[in-house]
Amino acid sequence: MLAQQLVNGVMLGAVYALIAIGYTLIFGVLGMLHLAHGEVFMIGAFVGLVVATHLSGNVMLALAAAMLATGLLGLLIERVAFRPLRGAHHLAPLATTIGAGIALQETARWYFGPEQQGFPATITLTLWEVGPLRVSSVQVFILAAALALMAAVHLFLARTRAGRAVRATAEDPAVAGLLGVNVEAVILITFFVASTLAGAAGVLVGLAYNSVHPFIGVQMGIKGLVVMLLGGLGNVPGAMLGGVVLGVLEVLGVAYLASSYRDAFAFGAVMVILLWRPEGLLGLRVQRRD
Amino acid sequence: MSVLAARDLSVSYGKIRAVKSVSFAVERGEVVALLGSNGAGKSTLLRAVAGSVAPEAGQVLLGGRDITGWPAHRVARAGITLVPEGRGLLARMTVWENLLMGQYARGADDAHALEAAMDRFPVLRQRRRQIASTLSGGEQQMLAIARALVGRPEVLMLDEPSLGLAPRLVSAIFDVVAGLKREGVTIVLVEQNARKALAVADRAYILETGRVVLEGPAAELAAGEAVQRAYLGGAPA
Repeated sequence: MLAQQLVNGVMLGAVYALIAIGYTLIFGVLGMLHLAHGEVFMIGAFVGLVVATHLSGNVMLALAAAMLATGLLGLLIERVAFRPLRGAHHLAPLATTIGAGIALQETARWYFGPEQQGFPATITLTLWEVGPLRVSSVQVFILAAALALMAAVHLFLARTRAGRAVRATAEDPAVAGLLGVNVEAVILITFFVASTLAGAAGVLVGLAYNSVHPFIGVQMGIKGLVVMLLGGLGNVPGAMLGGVVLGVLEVLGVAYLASSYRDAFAFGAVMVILLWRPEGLLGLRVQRRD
Repeated sequence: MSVLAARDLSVSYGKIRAVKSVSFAVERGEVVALLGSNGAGKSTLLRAVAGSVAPEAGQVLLGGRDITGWPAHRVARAGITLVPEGRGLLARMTVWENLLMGQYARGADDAHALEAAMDRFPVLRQRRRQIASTLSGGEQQMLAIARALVGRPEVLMLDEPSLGLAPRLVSAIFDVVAGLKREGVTIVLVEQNARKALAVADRAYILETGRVVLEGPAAELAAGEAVQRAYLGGAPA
């Protein structure tokens, strides 16, 4: 029972982590919050749904289409909700991104309708029994896709020239500029990457719960923010760990308390963790040496 | 032709004019010192050349090409590297990653230059996997200079490299600058330590409240009475 819950929790957490990494990348580079990020996730879910329903039952294709579409959407959001506010107060994009989020919700409601929709049943569901564990092929796919994307982001940031430029900009845009980094280009790369991750998460959540509607991004957006804080602001490995912690806390809350207290339990536990470590699980403590 | 020249450069922060119509020139292989007290406009001048701040008037020429108002990343790619005051290290990255970022503007890695930098500063080779913020102050300054050198800049601009270092380390930094001069690196050096800066420089400009008030060969300035009184704290030794 516990092991089963842990499997479910890790799967859910891996998806939270994808969203939180996006928040964290954007916050890292701009020092600003992107409050339409949950809606990017929602659009990703719909694009995946449309592709899977009308074009091809291939889940990989749906995932790729959703990532490309949300990547471009991220660039658009950067252009209209962030770039005009460059140099403005760091809270200013709260207003523009909330506005962008509402616009996206209403566009989705107008175009797709307000009701819940499910992925077509073309995706064959196999159930494996591993000892006491029951794992479905969808769960395996979700976990594998989420982990592969996280590994890809990690390698991009740690090993590539462009990835190092993103990290340098996150640390100090002025210094990055002096080193030859085109900060504006880095911002666009960051929005694209962060938004593709949210789009992928949308498809994965759509597959997991088989329920897509125009307002699924609202709660997911909040969870992504919580995971970012839990992991440590601007810290990508922290976002990964934080996502898994929140996912596991949630399923444990459902399993041992009551499903209606799922979020209350999980967010309560996050509050306790942050009281213990205000900088987040992997957040940097201020270090000093002469 | 001068490798780097500023013509009548003016820079303002809001209503405050920090640099007022300053001209200076640097020949290839020269070490030029910009001296002056706090607030004289030295750092602002370097920032304007590097593209960190936009000048209000005047021109910056690199090898005769007008680069006035270029953003910092284009200036860096054109061959001017500024080591800013406070070193500007990427404190959360490793020593090695900082060095790699020093080659970012070149567009490609240059393993030879990386090796040469670590030969020059063996402590960096030892600590290449360490996070930059865990280095001591002197080591951090070495890393900042090494990071600039691996990009093989046309012009290296150092803003107060000795600031905040213990006297022994200050001497070490000036030894490094002297060594670079012997190798033919073109350097613009901003310093408060006028005595040591004049000892290593070929020529110097002295700034007061945003204007050049004196310029000339470093040896002459060091011997001159005005500089002695104002910046070297007493009569010629």
